[in-house]
Amino acid sequence: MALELIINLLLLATSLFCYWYVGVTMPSSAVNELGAEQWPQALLIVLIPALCWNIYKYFKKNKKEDITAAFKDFIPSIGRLVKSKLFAGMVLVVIMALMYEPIGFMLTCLLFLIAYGYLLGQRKWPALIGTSIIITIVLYIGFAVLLGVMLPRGQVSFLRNLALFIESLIPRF
Amino acid sequence: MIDLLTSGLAVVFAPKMFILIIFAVFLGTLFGALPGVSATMAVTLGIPFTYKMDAVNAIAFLVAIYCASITGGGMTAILFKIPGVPSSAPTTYDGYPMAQRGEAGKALGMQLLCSAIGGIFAAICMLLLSPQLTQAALSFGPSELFAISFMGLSILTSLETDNICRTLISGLIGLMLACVGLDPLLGVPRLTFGTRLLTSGIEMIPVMIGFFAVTEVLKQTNKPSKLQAVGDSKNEQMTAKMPTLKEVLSVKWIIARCSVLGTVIGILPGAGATIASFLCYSTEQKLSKTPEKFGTGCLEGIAAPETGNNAATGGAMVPLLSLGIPGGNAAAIMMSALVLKGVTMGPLLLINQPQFLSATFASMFVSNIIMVFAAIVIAKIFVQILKIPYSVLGPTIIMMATIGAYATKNTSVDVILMAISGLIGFIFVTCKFNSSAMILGLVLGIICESNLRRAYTIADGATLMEATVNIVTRPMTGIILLICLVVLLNPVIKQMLDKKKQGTA
Repeated sequence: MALELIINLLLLATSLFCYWYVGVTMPSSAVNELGAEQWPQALLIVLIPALCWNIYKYFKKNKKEDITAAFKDFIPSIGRLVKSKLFAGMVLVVIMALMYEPIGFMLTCLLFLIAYGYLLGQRKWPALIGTSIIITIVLYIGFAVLLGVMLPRGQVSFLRNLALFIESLIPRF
Repeated sequence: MIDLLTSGLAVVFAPKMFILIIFAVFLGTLFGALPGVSATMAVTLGIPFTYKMDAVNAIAFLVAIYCASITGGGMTAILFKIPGVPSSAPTTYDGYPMAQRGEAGKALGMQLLCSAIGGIFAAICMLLLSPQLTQAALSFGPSELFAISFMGLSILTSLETDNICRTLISGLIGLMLACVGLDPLLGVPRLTFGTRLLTSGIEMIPVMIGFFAVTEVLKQTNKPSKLQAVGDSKNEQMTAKMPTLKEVLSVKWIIARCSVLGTVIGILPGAGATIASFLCYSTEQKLSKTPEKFGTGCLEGIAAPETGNNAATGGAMVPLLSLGIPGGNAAAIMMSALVLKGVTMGPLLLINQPQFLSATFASMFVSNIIMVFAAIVIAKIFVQILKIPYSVLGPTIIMMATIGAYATKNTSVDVILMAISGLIGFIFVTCKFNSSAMILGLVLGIICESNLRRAYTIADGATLMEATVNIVTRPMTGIILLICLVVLLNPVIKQMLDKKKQGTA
């Protein structure tokens, strides 16, 4: 509940800033033309009151005591979130996205499948590792070999060489 | 006309070509079903197969891939909530809830049937009305095109009638995100905050994949007990069974209306399957006696966008063949493939070589029929995928989404954008905002803005107000905008009246 209000207030502040920012950074337009700043500003003119209305509705719908309680519980709820599977999943997705190009598709895919599979409750290591290897190979053959979709090999030289070696084992069509 | 038909069918039913058309349909359906492989990419990937074909066979082959890929995109939209192609995004609204209820087979059956009918209707229209419709579309200026794309946005207030304000906010955020990057007319960086990364704008595909696929897997991660994919009912044998005759008849008018609407939208240059599917969905929701059923998993919500987007494929071929103007990206790729073959595109093409029109028609007609059977086979494979434990399926979906996001421009920035979108999407859902509305705004934002601003540039008014009057008083623009206004305000007014009634009761 507290998050909802915080997000709405953040959106409102961002919208107000964007209204000012787009106005001062765009070249001034002719009197009979719709300039580069006017379309986003027109959207913000609708968005800002809509956000204000949404915040008003929030206060109208929730009792003052409930809002206070929600804010008191906000910091502990963040602690609970950090300990949750969901947060671990979010972290894994972000790490995977950051590592995708530097360490290449093969290794990223394999490690991500193992880590996320474990997070989702798979505790049988042979099955987990086996399926992860199979899926990595199937995805690689499906996309890179058959469809010609570019997949990163990694920027670290030994990982790149490893990827090239593994690729050399897979027959080209 | 008979000669034209005969020559077209002769091209398609030549044994070697017929096998190639079947191959193209399988290939297209598979490409379309793969997240991140758009219809344009599917057609592009099909070009190497045409190197040894003559020009007429090449267009027949590529058209088959194009039609099938649009259909294939709807399959993953229903099963995984991942639209294979952008035009399948509205299919997720009702297809995925049906899959969650264990009705994936019925949803897929309806999707395939409607796609086929929409595609065949458009092919017939293309053959009969090609020159006339092209002339009508050419008379559409930027103001009419703006009005058409704005009509697609008018769905915003009715995507979630219980939560109009938040849905509107979500749509406006999407429209704002579409403003980031180079200004479409002036070419100056806008809302980039001095960062070069944002200069090329916010890529639609990674955001869409993140909002739909990554968010969905994160939601499932939060449910520790649920390790089975959606729609995996133990008691039900999941097959891509066709819907019953009664169910098909219940959506017959939806199919008829969306076939017409989709074809017309497809003909408009720059519009295409995405606008057609969103517009058909919103139109049918407005016309429905039970609009509240839309978004909860109803057959009408699948029939409308799937008929519309496939009908648009036929429409998109009309300006390409008649005037040499590609109606969309996929048509542009097909045009470049024909140019590679030495074909001179333009109004004289159909006069000098009418076999191009007949072959395209025959290919669309035949491939839309083959597609139903091909897609059933592929859908059955995809439905089986749902039976895989979620500990395997969930991470695989994310990896496929990552490949799709990366393939757009071969840059890791898009993968990071996808991951961030997934996290934002989750917060969006938690705060009860509407992800679909956000995506709608992002998809239609640039089209809306660029056409509106072009309309102002050519409106010839001394002031902005005078230019506005000149735009709005154009008959077609005025009528469409008036319809948009009614459609936009209708749910708001209806809700206010309902509240008033409840207050007086």
